[in-house]
Amino acid sequence: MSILLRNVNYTYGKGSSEEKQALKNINLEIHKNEFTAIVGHTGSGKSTLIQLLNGLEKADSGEILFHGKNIYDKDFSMKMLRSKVGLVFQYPEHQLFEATVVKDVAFGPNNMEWEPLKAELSTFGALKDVGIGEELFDVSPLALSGGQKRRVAIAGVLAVEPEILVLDEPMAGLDPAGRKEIFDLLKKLHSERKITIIMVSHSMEDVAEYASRVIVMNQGEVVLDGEPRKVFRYEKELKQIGLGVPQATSLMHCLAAQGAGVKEDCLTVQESVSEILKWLKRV
Amino acid sequence: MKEQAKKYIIEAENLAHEYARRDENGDVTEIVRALDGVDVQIREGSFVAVLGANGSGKSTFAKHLNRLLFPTEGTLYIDGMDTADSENTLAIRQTAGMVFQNPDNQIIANIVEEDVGFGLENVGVPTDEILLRVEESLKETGMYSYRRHSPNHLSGGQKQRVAIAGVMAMRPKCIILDEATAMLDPVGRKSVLDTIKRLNQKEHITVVLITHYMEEVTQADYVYVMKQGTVACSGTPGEVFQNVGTLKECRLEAPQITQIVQELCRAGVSITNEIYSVERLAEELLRLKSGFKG
Amino acid sequence: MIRNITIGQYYVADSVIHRLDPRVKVTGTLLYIVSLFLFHNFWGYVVAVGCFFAVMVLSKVPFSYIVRGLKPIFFMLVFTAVLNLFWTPGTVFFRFGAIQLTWEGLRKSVFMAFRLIFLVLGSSLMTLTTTPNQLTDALEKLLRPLRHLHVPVHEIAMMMSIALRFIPILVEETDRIMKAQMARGADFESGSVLQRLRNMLPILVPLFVSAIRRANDLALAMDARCYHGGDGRTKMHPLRYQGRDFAAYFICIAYCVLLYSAVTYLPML
Repeated sequence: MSILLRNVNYTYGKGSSEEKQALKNINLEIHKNEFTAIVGHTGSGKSTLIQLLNGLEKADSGEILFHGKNIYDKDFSMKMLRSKVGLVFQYPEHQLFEATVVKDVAFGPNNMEWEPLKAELSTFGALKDVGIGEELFDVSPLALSGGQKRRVAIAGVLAVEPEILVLDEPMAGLDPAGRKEIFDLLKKLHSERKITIIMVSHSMEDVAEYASRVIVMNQGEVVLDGEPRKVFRYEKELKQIGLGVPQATSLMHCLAAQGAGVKEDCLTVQESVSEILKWLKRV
Repeated sequence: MKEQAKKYIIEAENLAHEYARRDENGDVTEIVRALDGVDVQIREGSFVAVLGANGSGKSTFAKHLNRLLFPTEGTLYIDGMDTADSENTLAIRQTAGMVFQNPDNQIIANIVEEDVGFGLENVGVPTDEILLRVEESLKETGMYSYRRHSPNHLSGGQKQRVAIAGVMAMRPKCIILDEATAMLDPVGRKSVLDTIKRLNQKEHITVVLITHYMEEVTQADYVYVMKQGTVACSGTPGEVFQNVGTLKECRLEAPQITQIVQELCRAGVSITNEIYSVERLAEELLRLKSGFKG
Repeated sequence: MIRNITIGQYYVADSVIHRLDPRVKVTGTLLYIVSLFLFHNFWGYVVAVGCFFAVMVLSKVPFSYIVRGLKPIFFMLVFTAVLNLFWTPGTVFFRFGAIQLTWEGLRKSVFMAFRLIFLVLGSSLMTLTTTPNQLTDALEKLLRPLRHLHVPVHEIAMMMSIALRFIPILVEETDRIMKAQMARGADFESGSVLQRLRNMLPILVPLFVSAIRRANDLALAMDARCYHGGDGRTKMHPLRYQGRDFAAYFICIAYCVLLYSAVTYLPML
């Protein structure tokens, strides 16, 4: 167990004309070494949820336990929490500010009051992990391409050595190849560095291919939670709340609904193609 | 359709654009050729998509269509007007309206209807006419009930529809969406696409959709794929998606349905490659299967 | 948080005050603010306060909404009140060591606080019932004569309008940037003044970069929509005085007369 949310409620814009309950009675457990995707349309509460995980927003009621300790306890160190649960926001432009890439990535470690050597090691380690080469170390982060900026932003959070990496739409605005690069990076961090990954995503295709667990949010509530293969069975329900399933999965549902005897829970192009071929050959 | 009778509204011939990159002292360090010999012809009333990865030159191309940039070499005519001639600026901008990527950074006024009227005010349309046209284009884009709202309280998709209304109020012949869906969530993206599709079909507005989302181009009549400032390939969506290798070189990827169709073809299943929707493919497969049986 | 600033935030409602010509509202508000500083008399305040509440009720803006505008000036209020209270000579009614309070000081600090409060409330009420665009339109029209002195009145009005539009966006963005840096362990609350200023850098740099980018984008968007300065421009909602606007001007004058007579003829309190 890494993070446990119990009966968490959160109201946005309290006392204003736009008051809205963003999260309603959330109960969740994020396990060690999961690769979780949170999906839901804008305003479903997913952004608020991930900000609760590292204490940037505070729940109105309910409790959040990190390794069994209540993060709202007086003697709980928020600074420690924020280093253990690293949060990468959607737009890298919101965090890049230093004159060079290295200095920017070092911002986190320097805030941690570590020994200089450790800070330096983790800075360069993080840059290596995200695949930013030496030739870019002294470049201004603002001069980088969109994909590179995103990598540097992730490195800036990785450098504080989090156990859990939380990312808000890490692929937004990237072209297909750029998306794949970021995903492969996350997969590598997950499998090699054993970092628990939680990401918000809009692309069901990407979720199906990479995530081990999907949490579906709608109007401040968790409506579905489980392996992609199980969650994507509920195509009709997902469509009702403005979401969907990967086209490869949808195709199998569509075939089965019309009486074809195919396995329905295919997630990727390859799975669907081999299933269809098997079905076509069957007499 | 009287396709032959329809003339080209956009004609680019050997279009090139260069700009100089400068260092801190203002000295030129590098000449960047963002567009390099682009030939594009778009017929009036058609729906054309320009696909390309980040940095492929597709946005530079879009900015030429509105005379926000003009050719270094080659020519570009918008509805017969030469974009090299600065006299044509206002006329071109009224003929070809532009919707940009960031919804927040293109809404000028603090109230929805006032923003929609902004362009009309600029070209000196009389007040009564402005009110009429604003109402009309807000209704066209389904944003009429928000006319007195502040843009800050709208969703991304709604803001983009306000921007589209602002363009439509100018009664343009052509509307260019420069990655206008890139910052939206799937719901917002769909609402914007539905709106422009309707405008294309009902009002016969020429649509130029610039994007890197492959699913969006399946509805287009014609697709141009850009790479490093050149047109890498073009054709109907089906033709373009077939060039898997070219797409990959362009840092793009065909939608899953197209990939499945192609994989099936490769495995020897006889199926047409002009299928873009789940329902159509399922239908086709079921027909094949019953053919096997019968 | 900075989100609470109400100036520049239009309150959507359908009321007589909302419908008034913004020129009336700007002139009236200026008149009201000036009037607050022209008397030192209890009855004057009664008239001023009464007038404010009457307009507020007509405007349909809830009082709680307007009061939020006071939060940012709270410290200034306390500061001026304390200053007046302690440093005004006169009849002492309380003494504790070196500290002495006078009746005159008490009176002055209460009146001063009153003025500041109603200055802010009055102008908040105007901005809440007037869209920033109407406001800039009004200023553009009212300041029009200055064009002959080569003051770029249209450009200034346009700049103000755009600034008003982007304030809420940049405020929200500041919030997001702060969070992004706090997620990397940034600390904005502790340290010396110099330290804290230095700590602002991770917020200010991304904010400036973003603001410049937005300005660039907006300039392009305005170009694309045929903006070419104020020449030959028409208005979607041109300002035209209606009967109610003349009535409102009349009420403004009536307010001045009432205020004058209250201050002059009623017994001094």
